[in-house]
Amino acid sequence: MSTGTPRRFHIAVASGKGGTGKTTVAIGMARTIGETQLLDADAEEPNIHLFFPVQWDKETPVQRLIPEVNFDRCTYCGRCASTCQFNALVVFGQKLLFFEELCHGCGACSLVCPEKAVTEKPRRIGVIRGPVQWGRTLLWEARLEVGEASGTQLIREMKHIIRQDLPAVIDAAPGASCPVMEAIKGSDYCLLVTEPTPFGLSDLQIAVEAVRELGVPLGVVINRSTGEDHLIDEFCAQAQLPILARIPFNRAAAEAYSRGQHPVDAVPGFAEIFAGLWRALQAQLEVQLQKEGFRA
Amino acid sequence: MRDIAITATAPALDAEVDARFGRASYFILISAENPADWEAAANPALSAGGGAGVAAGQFLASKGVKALLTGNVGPNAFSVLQAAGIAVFPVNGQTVREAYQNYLKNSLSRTAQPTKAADHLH
Amino acid sequence: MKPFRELVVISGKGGTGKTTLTASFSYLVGRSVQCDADVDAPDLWILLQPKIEAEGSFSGGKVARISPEKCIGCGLCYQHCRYEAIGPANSTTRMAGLTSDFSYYWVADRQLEGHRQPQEGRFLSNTNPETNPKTPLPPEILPTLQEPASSQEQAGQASLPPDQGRIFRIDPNSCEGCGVCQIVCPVAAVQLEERYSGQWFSGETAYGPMVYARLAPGQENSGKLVTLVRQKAQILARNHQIPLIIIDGPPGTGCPVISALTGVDLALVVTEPTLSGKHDLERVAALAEHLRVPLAIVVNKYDLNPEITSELESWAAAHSYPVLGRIPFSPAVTQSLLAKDIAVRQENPASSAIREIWSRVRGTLHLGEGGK
Repeated sequence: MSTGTPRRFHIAVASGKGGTGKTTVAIGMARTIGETQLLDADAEEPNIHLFFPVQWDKETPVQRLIPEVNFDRCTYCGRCASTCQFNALVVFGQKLLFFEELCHGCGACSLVCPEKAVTEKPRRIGVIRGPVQWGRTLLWEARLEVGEASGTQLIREMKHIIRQDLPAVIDAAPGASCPVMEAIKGSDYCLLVTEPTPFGLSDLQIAVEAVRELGVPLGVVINRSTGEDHLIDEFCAQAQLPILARIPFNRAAAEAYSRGQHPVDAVPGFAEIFAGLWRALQAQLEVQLQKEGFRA
Repeated sequence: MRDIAITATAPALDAEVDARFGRASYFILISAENPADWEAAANPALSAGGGAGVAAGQFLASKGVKALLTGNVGPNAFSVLQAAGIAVFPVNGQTVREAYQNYLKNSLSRTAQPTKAADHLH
Repeated sequence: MKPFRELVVISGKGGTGKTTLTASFSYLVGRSVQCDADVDAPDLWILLQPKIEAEGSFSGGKVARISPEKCIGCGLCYQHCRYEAIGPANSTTRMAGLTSDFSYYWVADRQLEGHRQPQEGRFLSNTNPETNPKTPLPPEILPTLQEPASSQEQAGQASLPPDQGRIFRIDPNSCEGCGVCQIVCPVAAVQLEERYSGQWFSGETAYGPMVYARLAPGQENSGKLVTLVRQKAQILARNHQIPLIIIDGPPGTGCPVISALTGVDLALVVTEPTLSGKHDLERVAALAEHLRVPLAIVVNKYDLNPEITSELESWAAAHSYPVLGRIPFSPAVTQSLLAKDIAVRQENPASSAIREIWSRVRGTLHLGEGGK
């Protein structure tokens, strides 16, 4: 990497919808940057592992707290139930019911219980697997426990647990939901991957709006470019967004992907495209660095 | 005593029975003894982000309802209804009035388990 | 019996041609109710071009707000928040002004709380039983809060009154609206407000009435919004006496998909012959099974990898899921899309496959003849 680019930086790779080639770009970036970390932040459907035949030998369980009721002390006053914003507790008559899968683990019930009948106990929300070495890349994956509603907290925890002395490429889930926002939040740059179609444009517009709200600088990567990208070009010009790379439409790339191979390894020319993307990205990072000073 | 609750798509006896429980538009609360004794209550759980079935169940429990006539009830809501001693009678494609009359004629059968899987967790 | 049938088109992941297929069905039926339940990325309107006749906003859940004039900076809300949504209100960097100072803040916090990594795993913020009930805010944090190193050099920062570092603020992107901050605030400086979470639209297309919705960025309630658009579609079907609702479902297997699947008459899964496509298909099938929804499969771009296509098909056969057809890879489909046209209106191998699939779907749903 060039001397001006800070050693520790986070690049989020996102897209307004799935199937745009986001994961392809994230893996390609990680390969090209060199010594880096690659985070699969799609906790509901982690799938980067499909491209890497690795053994996950390290994993860290992540826990949150859920209430536990001491029925000897409970007077069924109903304070906990009326406080719970998620309807996870119900009290009527001499009955109290708790619905674990509705609980967000905020702790409000134990705070308000006048009898101190509600305490808390840990519940596993998922695991963070990794790091595992693949080439020069350290892989991490967040995997949500089945039945857990949202991966947001798990993603947040994954960003805390990774090596803080290495750069990271974060492959967010598709869309603009909470876990996606969490994956992008605090990153130094966000790459939005899109296709040069009307659908791609519509989804890109939504994603741009979302990322701008987070205050993360962003640029666009056009995947499956046919050379006629005017839809995206016009939007980006108007929205003052840099287009950092155009990955050409290539049937061989699609076929390689379907075999679980990355186009960078399988298709001639792709390594150069990603090298170009990395150079453009470094230039962008340096602009940001000058603009606001770097937060190490 | 308005001891029967019927989910409804509109606040009227001729409205269709709402197939959803937690996200039903209205509850018609009606007396088993006197068909003229009824009221329509907007479902307070409709605005809940999650756990609508649970909240709706708690609402009916607070109203002292004994029987619920509706389309589908998920497992969370069902446990609330069960704990509150509210019997659940699934109905399909009837108006509120028809469902009420069928209930009085004993031609509805009570279900001992949820009629569908949880809607969603969040 | 409800007076209409509901067909939902879904896929384990996005970009598999779900919307293209949905719009083609709408065209082939002639008249049906269109319902775009992919509220994270609604695209069906681009092809069907409804004339919007009604729209409305939609709120879901709560979000907390701290009144800066009331906040005394005691930090109790910060200590109790488990979503890392509360931080100092002195930041001026970046847009919402929160991100960069937040990350700084949390790094500092973590250095102090080395004990937060017990043997058996990690606890989320402020949830370690060892520090629960919560310890007081370490006094040494407060001074550092006032001087975030990153923004210190910035022009204008120096003129901030020193007390500003003691005022706390909520990042709405992280707030889950649990209300704990409101409970612990000693001066009632916190309000819980309704959270704007999206917009719905309805209008007439050339192929019947349509309803769709768009979730606001970062909003989580798409299950509720999906329920809302489906409900509106059902009302349209009743009012216009249309016997079929075609739903463009959301991708994935999360909460919005569950809402889109519940109670439909047929779920058609569009899958591609890729390793991840197969993986996603299995997950979506398990979900449909769980919800007791009949499932059928279509393989799109099957010729990209004939081997995986046959694997998908034998997997489907082994689980008794009907495969209603294979669609060949066709650049003409992309060309139609670029022209905002419906793929099946052109004559090509892909569109004949789609026509065939539609006739099988119609059979599966026991719909009469009709349409094109």
